[in-house]
Amino acid sequence: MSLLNWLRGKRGWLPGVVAVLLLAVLLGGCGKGDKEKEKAKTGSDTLYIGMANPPEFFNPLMHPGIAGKFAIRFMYDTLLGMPEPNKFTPALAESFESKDNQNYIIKINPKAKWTDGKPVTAQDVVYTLNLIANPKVENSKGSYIKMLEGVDDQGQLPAGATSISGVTAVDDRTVSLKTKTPMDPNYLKSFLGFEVFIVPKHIFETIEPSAIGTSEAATKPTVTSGPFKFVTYKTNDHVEYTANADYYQGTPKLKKIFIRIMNGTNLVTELKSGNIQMVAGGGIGIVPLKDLEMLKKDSKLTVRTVPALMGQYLDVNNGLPEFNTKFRQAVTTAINRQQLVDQLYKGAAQLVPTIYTPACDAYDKNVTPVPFDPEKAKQLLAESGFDTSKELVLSVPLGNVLREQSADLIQQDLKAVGLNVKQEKLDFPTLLTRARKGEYQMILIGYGLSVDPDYSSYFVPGGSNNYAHINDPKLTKMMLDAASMTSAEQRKAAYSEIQKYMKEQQFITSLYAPDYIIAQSKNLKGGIRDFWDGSLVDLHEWTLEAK
Amino acid sequence: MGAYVVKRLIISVPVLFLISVGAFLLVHLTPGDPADMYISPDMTPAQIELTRMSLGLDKPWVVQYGEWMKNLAGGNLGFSFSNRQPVGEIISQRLNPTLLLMSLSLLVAYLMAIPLGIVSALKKNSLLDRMIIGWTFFNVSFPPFFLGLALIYVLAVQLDLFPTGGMGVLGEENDWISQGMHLVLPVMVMASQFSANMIRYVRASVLDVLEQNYIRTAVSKGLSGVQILLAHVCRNSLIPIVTVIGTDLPKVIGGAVVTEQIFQWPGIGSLTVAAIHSRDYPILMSIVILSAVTVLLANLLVDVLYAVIDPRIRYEK
Amino acid sequence: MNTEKLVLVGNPGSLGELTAEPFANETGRKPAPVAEETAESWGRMTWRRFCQNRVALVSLVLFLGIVLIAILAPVLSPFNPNQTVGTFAASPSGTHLLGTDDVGRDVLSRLIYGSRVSLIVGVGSVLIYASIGIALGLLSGYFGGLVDSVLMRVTEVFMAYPHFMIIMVIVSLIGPNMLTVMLVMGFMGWPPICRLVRGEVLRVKSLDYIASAIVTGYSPYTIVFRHILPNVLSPILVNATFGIASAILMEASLSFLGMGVQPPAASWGNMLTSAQSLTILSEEPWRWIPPGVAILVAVLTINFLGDGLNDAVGGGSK
Repeated sequence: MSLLNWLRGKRGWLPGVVAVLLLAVLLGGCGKGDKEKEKAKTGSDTLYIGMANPPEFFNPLMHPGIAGKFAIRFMYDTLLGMPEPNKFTPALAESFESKDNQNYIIKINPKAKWTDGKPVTAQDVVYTLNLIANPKVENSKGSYIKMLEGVDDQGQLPAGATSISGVTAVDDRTVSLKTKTPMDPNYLKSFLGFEVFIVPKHIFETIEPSAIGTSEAATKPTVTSGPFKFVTYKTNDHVEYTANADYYQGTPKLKKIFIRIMNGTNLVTELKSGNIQMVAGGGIGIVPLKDLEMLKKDSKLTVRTVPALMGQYLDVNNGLPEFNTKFRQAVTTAINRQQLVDQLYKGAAQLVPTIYTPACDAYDKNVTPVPFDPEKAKQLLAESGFDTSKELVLSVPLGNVLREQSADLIQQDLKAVGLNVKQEKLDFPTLLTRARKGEYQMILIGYGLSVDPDYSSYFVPGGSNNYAHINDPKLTKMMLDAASMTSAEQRKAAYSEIQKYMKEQQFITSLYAPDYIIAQSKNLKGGIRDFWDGSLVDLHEWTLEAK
Repeated sequence: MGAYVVKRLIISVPVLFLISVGAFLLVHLTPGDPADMYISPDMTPAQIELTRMSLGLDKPWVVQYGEWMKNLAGGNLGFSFSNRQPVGEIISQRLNPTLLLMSLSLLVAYLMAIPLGIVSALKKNSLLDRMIIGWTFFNVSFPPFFLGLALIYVLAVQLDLFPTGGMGVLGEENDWISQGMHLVLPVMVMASQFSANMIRYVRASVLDVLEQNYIRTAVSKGLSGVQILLAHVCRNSLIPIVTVIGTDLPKVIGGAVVTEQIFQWPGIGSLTVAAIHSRDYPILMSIVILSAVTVLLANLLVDVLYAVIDPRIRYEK
Repeated sequence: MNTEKLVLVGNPGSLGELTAEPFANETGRKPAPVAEETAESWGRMTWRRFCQNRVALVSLVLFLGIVLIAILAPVLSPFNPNQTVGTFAASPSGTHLLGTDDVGRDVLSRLIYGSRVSLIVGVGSVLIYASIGIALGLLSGYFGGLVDSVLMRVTEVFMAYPHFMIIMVIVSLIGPNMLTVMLVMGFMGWPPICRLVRGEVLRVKSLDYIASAIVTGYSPYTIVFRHILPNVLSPILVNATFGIASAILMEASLSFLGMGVQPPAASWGNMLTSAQSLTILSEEPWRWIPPGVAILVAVLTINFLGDGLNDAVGGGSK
């Protein structure tokens, strides 16, 4: 970029793109320019973040993807912050207390204000929760409030009800909540406290509930409560934010933030050239593993990998009778998962026995992965009674290169034990539709997991993520019981048992849990945390220091 | 002439209609429910149905098409599935970068190609002529993505002369110079493709003209080479130039998919790829219609230009 | 100059960045003189003229070489192209002359097998669209009237579609693989040939001896196959040759974008996809330069071949 600076200094006598172009083409032949790459980027108050997935829209009630949620967190605050799993910090809620694990009192921070100057009140919180429970409002937050008294198991108001009975505004600053049964406070805090963005009642009540999705408030928000304010979004290109000087937790030290949307390769080049100071990380700003070594060599960057709350799975359709337990065990035993972790992921992934990953509190280290053993797999396959002459189709979603490559390796491994496996590549929506209807034999799929170990939606009949069509009464009971326990220790023990049972039954094959790669400029104080979801908790304190 | 243009425009209406029906059927009859793309795993079946409703996917396709047409007639291209913003706004954001890239590429290509074509014809069968012709073959045979990658490798990665992609640096003022630097590599790729056709065409037509009797007369009258070139050859080469422009113009909207993808150019081409991946039908439909309109208009424009530069051409009604 | 011809000239069969037909526009502009000779001597004459063009001759040899490699792929490939056979992403060595890819497959073997995809898609799609184009062109020109108007409107619709984009959309929606790429390209590419054939039919129909043949009651079959097809054979052949080059480029581009042939099957285009990674681009050139060069050489030789053919049949540039 040095040539660029050089030209920029003399632009007086070089007007017009064409002239520059011609000159540049000429210069292009002249060879290497001087190599000083440092731009005037040090000690700046503008932060550039690279992100691979576009943040669909800015609807605080509904965001299909993680990228949207990430982008919304810059502008909307939740009641609580969660810098580490199940460690909570006050945010809009000054306090969030319960004496009996069923009745909660939330005190709103009196300094909290919307960007139009109006105070954030208890009425806003009550309104938000009721909006989520309103069956006419398109939203993805129902499962975060389903524990409240007065909503059904999907977090929706039952027919006839107009408001949630378990939620009341005691006064302007106080909200009282009541759950259906006593439960682990962490469950409520990490879901309702940390995942529900509080919306301004005075703005949203002017919008027809069914039209919130396409309203200005959901695509170009102006009244928010977080440390940064929305400026503009250029579709699939960048989001611009500016600091909210009146932020109740303190004026943000950065003045501006840009989230730039670019592919993985460009994340690498832009990080290296200092045009972005961090990548969004998580599942939405992953630098290609291939380039990890290159980034680690760069002295201006800190790069590390941490276990993540996500995994890649091979789901065998449990709804088909021929795929019995022995067959599923055979599949898991036949796949060289260590090779996937070591060679394909270059070690930046975890070999996991079940859906639970080391990033999850409830992960039980004593449950070890089923070892790779082709001979054993052949034996299990013979015992399963599966007709190996039958063609098996492995459906692979397009879009994740490493997963597509893993499919090639898995196919080879399964063929090696005598299964006649054919691969079929489908785009993601097609695959999901088929998975939901159970019209498949085997699929590869990735799940992003919650902090709370209640993953029942993946395993119980009717669960929204039960793509494997698992219907095992014992597992269902274990999972539902564990979810409703009130003490953290009790729950942990219950989830330990669940992991043992899952390992034995292999309802789904956990292939590996890819690590998150955290890569950012050394002069950025702040940035992505080991617990990715909690990264933006102290956003207002982040700074870019001069070297 | 006016009547002719009107007639052509009227004919294009049914053509566009058929195109829109075809495109609509194509995207709506393929397996897979696009709504799956826009829901969160946390949503309940009832909520998913709500999303399908707000995207308009709950109705049969004929009704959906009818609504789409109705909106179109009112100048409304609908909302993008993936970000719920008006399609018109998204497309207009993407149109400028594409137009900038393509117009500049065409300009560079023609500025390079026309003199080369003329020289090549004047020095017919010389070494220079053969080199120019050989070069045109290289240009059309070089896969654009391979050329793009090679340029990035040599000029951006190894020599560090140009940025590897994008359209400018955000947040700073993007002066002409920064923009220009970002344009160099993609323009080089596109221009090399465009120039080849023009060179060969100009060469052929100049050769054609040179063999005409009136040129021989001019030579025998003792006019100088430059005079002949300016007075006769250039004028008569205009038609083939217009012809080539006619083949190039329709590509302005959809012609740079691969190049935009490689250089992360925020234009229509990369929007198309993104829309395909996210099954964003309203965007796809609008892009298809937009490019079809471009093709039809470009064809019309070229036909009109023919009549303007060559009075012998007349169009019957 | 009429509008019909102008539309032919505005041939969207080639995309801006995929214009593998250097002068597709010119073919058909100067129809070959009506063949008076028999087919055999036409062939011999063409061959004689073709041989005078050294570049074309060399290209022919190279092209035949590629065909041979494609046919003999199982014999020539040192390894199974779709199977992990070595360490992942290894640099070139004695065992793996061009190294291995990200999942340990032999790059050389994949390169060799990739030639099959390119040739099958290239030749296959052109065969499909040439057959459709010839059939519809003959129908349209021979019957005229309503058939002609309807067919010409349909051609207009097809030609107004942004070609590459539409193919990209269709292929990715119905499921990208070699067969769909070939079929979709085949079904989208026929209009230029259709127009070419129709124009020729109209011209031949107006000739005195054909008119008299019709009057004397020759069957349409005889007229089409004895008198019309031989005349359009040269421009079709030239058009088809460039078409193959175009199709190879298009397949490679689609595969490069991930919307064509899918791994583990090897295609030159999808081998280049990985070069979008900075590390591969700058540190593992053996991964992306060989397939890139392979596409370039294949397309270049076919284009030179087409050029030589065009000169030989007398329809070309001077």
